[in-house]
Amino acid sequence: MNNNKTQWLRYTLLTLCSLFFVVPFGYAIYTSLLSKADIGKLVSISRLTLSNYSDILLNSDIRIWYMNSIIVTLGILVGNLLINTTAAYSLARLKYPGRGVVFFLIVGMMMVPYQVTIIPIYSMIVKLGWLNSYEGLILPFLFQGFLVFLMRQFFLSIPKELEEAAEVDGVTKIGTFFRIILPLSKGAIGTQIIFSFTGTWNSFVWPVTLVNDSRWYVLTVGLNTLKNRYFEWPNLTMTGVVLLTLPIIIVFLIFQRNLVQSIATTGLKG
Amino acid sequence: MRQRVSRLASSPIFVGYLFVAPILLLMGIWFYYPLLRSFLYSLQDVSFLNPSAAHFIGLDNYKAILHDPDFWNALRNSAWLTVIAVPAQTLIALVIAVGLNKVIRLRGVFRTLYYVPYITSTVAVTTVFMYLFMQREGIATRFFHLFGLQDVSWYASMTYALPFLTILTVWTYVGFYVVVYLGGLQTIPADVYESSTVDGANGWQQFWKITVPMLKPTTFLVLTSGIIYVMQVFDQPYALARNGSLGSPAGATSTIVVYFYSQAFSYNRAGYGSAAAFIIFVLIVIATMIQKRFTREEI
Repeated sequence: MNNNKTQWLRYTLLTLCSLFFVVPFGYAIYTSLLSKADIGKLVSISRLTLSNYSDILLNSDIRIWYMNSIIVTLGILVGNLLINTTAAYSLARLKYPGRGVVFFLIVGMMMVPYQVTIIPIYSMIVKLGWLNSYEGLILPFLFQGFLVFLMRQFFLSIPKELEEAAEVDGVTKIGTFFRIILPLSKGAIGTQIIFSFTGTWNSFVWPVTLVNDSRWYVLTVGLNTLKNRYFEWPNLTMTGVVLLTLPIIIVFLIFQRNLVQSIATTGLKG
Repeated sequence: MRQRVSRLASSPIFVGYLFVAPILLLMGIWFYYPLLRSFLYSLQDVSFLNPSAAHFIGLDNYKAILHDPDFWNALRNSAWLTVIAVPAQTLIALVIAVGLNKVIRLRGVFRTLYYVPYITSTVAVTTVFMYLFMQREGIATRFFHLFGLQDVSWYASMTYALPFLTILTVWTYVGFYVVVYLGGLQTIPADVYESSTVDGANGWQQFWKITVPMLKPTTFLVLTSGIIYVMQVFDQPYALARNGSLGSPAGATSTIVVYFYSQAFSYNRAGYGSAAAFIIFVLIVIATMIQKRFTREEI
């Protein structure tokens, strides 16, 4: 009896807490569906409209920003998956002189805040003529120390016997990696996808620094200017918010299954 | 030929180097070279507008920063944010995680609801919160007004802008730390609780005598990474300044990173900005070390 009561109390408290997190999203979605005349009012469902969405999609540069965000995010994602994963496997399982130094160089990056490198990188990008370009938005971000660390921790947890058996069967190291290790790593790769995708999609300080032409904005930067321009029209800015947030939530829901486990085993995002 | 390829592909040394070659190359270009460059900049008087006029001035940039009242204002804001937001988000996350760990139905749904703010764009979140905390119309402003707080647009008020930033920060990070704590809770073996129940311990005693001590390593991670994240707060003040100057209103939301960024990119002072960046770096290292010291002593 008592047990039932505490359980009920727990659910109530958890629900109350989740309200704190849900209300801002609810506000954003609701407001994005209001017509200009209804801003700030509580109206019935029948008065809600999708006209803000067509308005924003047709009359602003948001489609270009969407495309830029998708291209940049996918470009970095592919680079991350290839470069971080192979580096992590090399550090976890292949023995060679200098491996310790390489590991130190990669983990060392996790300690250093981006402020330390953004000024020279900005100068380099300017010199290369890559301001307002995909090169400038993608190439400096193809690798990530934290994700190498995450994948390495995962590879260390795979029993060595699998690779030893493969070696006896005459499978090469490269073959072992692609045909035996990668198929076992779907969960860890899913986590890497979440971190890389959300990190790039939401990234703001880099694109706002490396781009000054609105045709090269990514969505976060675009939304920020949209908000500054249409601040008096919450229905329009909230439409932008929903359009910016939706893809992230979808990607998260698809790949989240192993997230808790990965965070638990590696500690944290650095 | 074919045999040679296969022999190379079987050599751990060859494949090992092959697999780290791309990251070594990219790191060299996009991390270690800029790191070195930035350090040299920090000892130079150099502007983005006229880089060829650069010349070495020793530690003058660092000295000038330490004598700049704007820097101390930014540092005070960041410290305030850290001291309030980090303990708050840690405590809230711990309580939610412990509650969540004891329920089975809907656990995944709750976890997702708490986590989603963390993966939402900071610009989007700031935009939404600006409307929630707007004078007269904002739901949150009206709610807090019931408790005697002023009816103002929080993000534009000298008094309320920093608390606004704090609420924004806590709201963003709590869910992430709930998931981290859930991971930590999984490492506590169930029989510890079972045997303490046999010994007559109630839930409250279990929480303080078992859960909290056994979560100490997790708490250390949560506090350290919390401090590092909060010291990095930048997007939110950038977004809430709208078209005004960074740190609006009048420096009330200027964090150390905002200070860094406006020196570097609003005033084009590459050398001065680099020195500020290294000061932030040192602050983060110090924060991590203090944290480590404290947790170790308590164990």
